[in-house]
Amino acid sequence: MIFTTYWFFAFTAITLAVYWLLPLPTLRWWFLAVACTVFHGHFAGPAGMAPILVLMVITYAAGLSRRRWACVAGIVVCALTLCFYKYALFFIGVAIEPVSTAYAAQLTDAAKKLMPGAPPLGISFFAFEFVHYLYEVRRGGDPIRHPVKFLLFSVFFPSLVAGPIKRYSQFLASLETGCRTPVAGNFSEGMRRIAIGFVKKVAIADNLTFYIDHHQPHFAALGLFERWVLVACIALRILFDFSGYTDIAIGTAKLFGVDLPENFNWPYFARNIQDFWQRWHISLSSWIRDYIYIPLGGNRHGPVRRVTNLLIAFGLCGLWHGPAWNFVIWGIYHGVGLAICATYEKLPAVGPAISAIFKKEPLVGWVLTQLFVWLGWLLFFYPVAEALEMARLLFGL
Amino acid sequence: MPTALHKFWSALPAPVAGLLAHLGSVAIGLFAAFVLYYVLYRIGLPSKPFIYVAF
Amino acid sequence: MSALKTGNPLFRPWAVLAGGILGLAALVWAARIVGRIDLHPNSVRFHPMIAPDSQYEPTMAEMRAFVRARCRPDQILVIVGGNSILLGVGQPADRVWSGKLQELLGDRYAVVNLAFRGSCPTDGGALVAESLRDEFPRQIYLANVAPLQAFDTIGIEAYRFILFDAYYKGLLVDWPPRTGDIRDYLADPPHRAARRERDLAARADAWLRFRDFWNWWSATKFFTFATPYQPDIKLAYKPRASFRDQETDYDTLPFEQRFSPANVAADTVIARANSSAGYTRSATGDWELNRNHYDNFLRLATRMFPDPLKPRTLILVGRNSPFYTERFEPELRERDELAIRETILAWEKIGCAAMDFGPGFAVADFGDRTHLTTSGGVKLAAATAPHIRALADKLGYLAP
Repeated sequence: MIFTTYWFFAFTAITLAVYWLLPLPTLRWWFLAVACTVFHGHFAGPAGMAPILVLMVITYAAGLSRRRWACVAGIVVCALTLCFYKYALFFIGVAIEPVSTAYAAQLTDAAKKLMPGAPPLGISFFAFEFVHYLYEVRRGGDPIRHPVKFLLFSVFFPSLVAGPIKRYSQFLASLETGCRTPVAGNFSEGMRRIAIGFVKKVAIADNLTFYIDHHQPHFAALGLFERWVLVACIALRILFDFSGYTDIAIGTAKLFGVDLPENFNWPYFARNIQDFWQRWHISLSSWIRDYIYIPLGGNRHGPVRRVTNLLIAFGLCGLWHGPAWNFVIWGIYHGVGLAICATYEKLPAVGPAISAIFKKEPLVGWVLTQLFVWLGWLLFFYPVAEALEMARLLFGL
Repeated sequence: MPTALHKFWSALPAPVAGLLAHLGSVAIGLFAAFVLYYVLYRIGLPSKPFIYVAF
Repeated sequence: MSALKTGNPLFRPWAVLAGGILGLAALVWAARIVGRIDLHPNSVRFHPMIAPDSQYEPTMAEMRAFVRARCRPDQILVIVGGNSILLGVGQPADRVWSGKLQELLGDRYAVVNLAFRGSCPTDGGALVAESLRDEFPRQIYLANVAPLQAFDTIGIEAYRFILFDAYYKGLLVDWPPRTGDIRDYLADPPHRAARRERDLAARADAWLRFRDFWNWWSATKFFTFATPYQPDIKLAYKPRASFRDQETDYDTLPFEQRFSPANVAADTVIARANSSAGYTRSATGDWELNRNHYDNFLRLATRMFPDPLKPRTLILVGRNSPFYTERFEPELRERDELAIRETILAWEKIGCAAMDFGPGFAVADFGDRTHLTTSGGVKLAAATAPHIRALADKLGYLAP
């Protein structure tokens, strides 16, 4: 994890000091752009930097042209690049291997020759940010004209590796305001946020990981209560780990006077699935909503289309998390949950009655939602068969 | 800020509220330093026990 | 920045920043204080729960405090370094061989066991001894090797944290071969990023002393994370100083378990190859020293210890258990003896003292191929004590 390295601490301390010692705001964001490039190069290496540089140039040029066809082409290139680096081997395994093992092996070899050892650093995030940028410019938003500001948007180091997924207009506005004067409130808030992030990640999540790794292999041998405790630990671990990382990213950005979007809002207080996705990984769920669900038609074409769009959007959301079937199934699982949440009230007789219960006893909605979400984490973390077995054991079946 | 806390805070004399705010803020700073100090230690530790295999 | 602008009446930014700076300063100051405390008053050695085996990395300050608590300024300090053999694996704490050595040497000496499992003669204990060369000028450092075996100046990866700790705190003699090895280690391309991390950590710790503080916390308050080495969740966060040294007692382990068929098969291969690299058979059937191997060994051995420290270094050349060696053909035993003698001569030529480890040891004195039982430890202590006294005399430590 990049934030838990001494290099990150040293880099941030030096960059911060130089940034605020520079006398002019323009010098500051020029310097920050160079520093972010160095950061990216250090962790990604030359092979890892190439895709982002190429996509950056394409996206910047397409955005500047403001031509619809250029923006659409740029979006397609970004999406294809993401698919290639992250999903090529998965797709070959799924679509080609069942038909011809030999051809699949050839394609795999060819793909591996073109790819670096691991997907380029942050590709899931910058591909999504470029798609967002081109979509908004295509809709009439102002493109980023200054190449250095575009570079900063692309490789801003606090959010490069694990988000939050930025919106370019808010990011730039925040950068332009924040880089003018050092503000004590930003430093203190940044410090506080970073400290909270590290407590969540290092003190809580890492210890939960030990507990989970120690007990999960013997899940069947645990008592019923211990099994539920373990599932609770799994749910809490992912929250603390991910939200801790986000806190560190947001806090670090704040030290530079930049506001990043919030990513979590007490998700385990959610009372329905829709509420959950407005509190969990907010930058991703809003991206999925704005650039997949709504363009597919959203809820504008009747309930059947709405359900279909939800399943597609969240299937893709699941796939975004990793090239494996359990992620896709987890995504579809949440799509089903959202579909039910969106439509159950319309069920004759039963719908209004259930709705009345939730209104009268909000705790019921909360319990059902958390049960749904926490069971969903089993699909996220474990192979499907193992997850279903664990779920069966949780209910003593 | 929760309503009850806001009411309590508003009821305090200004100097007291100011002092409490400063003390609380110093405490936040101390907490941040403590956490940073721990993180610097923790990230340098090995991720696994050292298992010596005789040869 | 007023609280009104932040919208939170509890938040005063400058006070937060002041608290942060004050907090950090206070912690660094506290670290310097607690770094002088002996954290392990009830321990005779760095057993697994206070060693990297359980993800606990003792600091230089901690080990130096350990030594200071056990050696008076008027005593001759004897630091036992080396690996699990000298750590006393197989000997319980109350019967560890270094305790017997202390008994034999008497109060004029203070024997401190700073050996670690798998460690090299240049790791851990060697660096602590080196760092205390001014505070305890009358010192002897012991470590063990196998015949014709030498090591890097920078030891093994698992204990390199000690080297970097000592190096960046300026505790070591300036020794160009070691400085060069450190530079090469850091620059090695496949591992550069990870090694730079270690380097940065040690540089930061030299200023901020966070490892001293948190080791004190981990040893005396609670350990802050669970380690797979200690799978019992209830014990995971116990302060490390509260764990007793629970080293296996080979005297209570059945012989058949220590010398099981699988162990014997594997160890026989290793034992037979003990000195094989150093010798070849001549046309007349005699053993001839393999000059390349010997020259390489000598080159490495010469670089291992800084020149000023060689005279006070006593190298113990080890042997394998007679359970194995007594089954060898006579020519193999002859080769091993030649190798031991050649190794001792080589170390003496380099400027160190050296001794043979174990003629006269019985099968019952070994718990496995290399590690000693309590009776073996007693014999080792008895064999080592005269060499230490002789070396102390030679170095002028015994002069009134």
